[in-house]
Amino acid sequence: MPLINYASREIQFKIVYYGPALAGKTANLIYIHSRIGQAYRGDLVSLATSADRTLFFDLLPLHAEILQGFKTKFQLFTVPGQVIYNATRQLVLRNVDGVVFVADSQWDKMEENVLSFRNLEENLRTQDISLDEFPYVLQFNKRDLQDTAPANYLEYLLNNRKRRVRSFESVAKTGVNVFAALDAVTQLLLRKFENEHRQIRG
Amino acid sequence: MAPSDSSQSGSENLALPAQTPIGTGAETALDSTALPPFGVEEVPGHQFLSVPFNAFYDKLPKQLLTSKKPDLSRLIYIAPDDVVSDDETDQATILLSILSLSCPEIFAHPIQSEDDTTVTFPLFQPESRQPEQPPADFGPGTGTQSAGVIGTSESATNSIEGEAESVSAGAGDEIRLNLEPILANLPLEFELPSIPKDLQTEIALPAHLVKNQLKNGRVSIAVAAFCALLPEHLKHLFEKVDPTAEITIPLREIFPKLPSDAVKLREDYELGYSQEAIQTPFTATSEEDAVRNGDLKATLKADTDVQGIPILAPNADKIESPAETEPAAAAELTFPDTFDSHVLQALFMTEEELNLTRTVQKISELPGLRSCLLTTTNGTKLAGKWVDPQNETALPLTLPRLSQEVASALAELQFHSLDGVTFYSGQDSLSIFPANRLLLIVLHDNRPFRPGVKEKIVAVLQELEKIGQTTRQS
Repeated sequence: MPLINYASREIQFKIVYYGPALAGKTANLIYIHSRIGQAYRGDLVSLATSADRTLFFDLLPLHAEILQGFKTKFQLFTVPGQVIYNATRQLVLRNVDGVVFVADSQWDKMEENVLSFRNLEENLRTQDISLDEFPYVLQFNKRDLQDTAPANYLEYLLNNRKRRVRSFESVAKTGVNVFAALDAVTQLLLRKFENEHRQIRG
Repeated sequence: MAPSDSSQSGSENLALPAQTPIGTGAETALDSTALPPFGVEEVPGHQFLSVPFNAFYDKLPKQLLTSKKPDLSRLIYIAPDDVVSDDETDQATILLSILSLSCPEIFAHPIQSEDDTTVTFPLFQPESRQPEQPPADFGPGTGTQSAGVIGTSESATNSIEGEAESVSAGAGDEIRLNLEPILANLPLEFELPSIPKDLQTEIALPAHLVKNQLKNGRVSIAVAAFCALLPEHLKHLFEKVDPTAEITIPLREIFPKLPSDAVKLREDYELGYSQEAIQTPFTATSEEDAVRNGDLKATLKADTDVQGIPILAPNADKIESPAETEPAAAAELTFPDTFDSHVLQALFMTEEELNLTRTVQKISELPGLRSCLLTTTNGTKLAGKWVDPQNETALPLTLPRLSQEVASALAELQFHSLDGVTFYSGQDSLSIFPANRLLLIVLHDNRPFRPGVKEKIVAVLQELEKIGQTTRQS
């Protein structure tokens, strides 16, 4: 559920970029940060090591007025992908509204993708959230590399469920389909929000 | 123990009924009629029972187990010496401390002496298995070897998650892979002796072993089973390797050999999203990026009629792209059908009634200019024509951003506001003139503007900006 402040007329959505280590979650936020005008974003807070590994999370606040009369804020988070940081992931996932699952397309990362996706499902379950009803999209990242699995295999691994979600082949570093994935998950959030809070609309 | 370590066998301490130790003589114990276990693995110098977790897991004391339940179809390997069998009940019994050495991951802590009870499990295969099927084999072609191809072995059993039964595969139901990349991919801790170079041998993996693991993103096979598939002259490579260790088969080698339906998606799915798109603050940037990166499209992106996108709020503002300098969305900039502007008429020294198209045309007719485009700073073309139609699409998407970056850089150097930038290239020059939400792109001769032309362009642009703004405010 997004945070709604009727007094200040603000709605806040929390979107988490989830996925295995070094899949490109932070790269997504860096690109988004570079493409959004200063007037509409805060600073990108990133706690990463010199090896580009996220220690805690990245945060990029964005804001716009999309629901009439309400200032709409989007908080984009990433999680650390390494297996040992599950407690952090659970913390970041609290009160999440939508997820962009960033999969690494390289052949030798397939198992990590599957495990991370299962981990996402388990961590959501601890919040009594079923992935089958939750807004999320898939992003198959690093499509510019040579040694990548075909997209249909990634679909088979991550999107072969009763409910099929949108998926995007991306290159986060250069921005290919970064905004498309963000746009898609935002559509899911807004549609869900609209259904649940029709009274807010003018 | 792991299978090869039977030193801790404590069967002599057990009070077991009418039991016969298995493997007191491996030749008899492993005879398939005397011992029909779940599987028998052969590694050079070793023989093991392969037993699925579901044969004994539910019988283990719960307080000794971790909370995470293992895949019950997974096999573990036990040395025949470590179990005692009961011929009458066709069951085998093993001490928990011994069993825990084969599958330590399921136990919360090492088995202490006070907890060291026994567990009994059946030696027969699950009933679901077809009796007429040969046990633990990989189907016809088993054991056969053709030139350069290693046949599958009768004794080989897979370690597939989710598939305990060693189901017999049909004729030809195998996947042949070059052995070299598999061996090259082995972890260093295997410490194999030197692998023969130019290894052209293929290995035939049971297709079901591969297919059933594809969903996990990893295909692996136990060393014991892998060895059984190797030709004799290569088996020595794994003599010192733990037979329960797993060998990962590189997916990139497997995939080209798979039938097209191996990773077929389920057909009874429901779309988890609406085909009808709604506009979000990120839609415009997404579309810009899509044009810029036209070679990679969203794999499941539905075709959307941009004009028909319903907006949640009629006056919804968009988050600006970097090129935007004002909070207002430049895409909403509109102009009246005709301009009531004496300033424009004076600038062009005409009494003609002007509109946006005609005004931009008038600019392009200025001395030395060849063509021009008027765009918004977020890349929407408003009027004008370019000599090259392809560039007519590309220029509005790239130059506003460039202009913004140049303006930002100059601002940091405390220059005055940017009036225009000119790029000289060959016989042509390209100039861009920003004016708040508008950008004029001009192609002209490779020489300085004629006197008064640049000033006239800037003045016209400022007037257009006013007209557009007036329209918006009304």
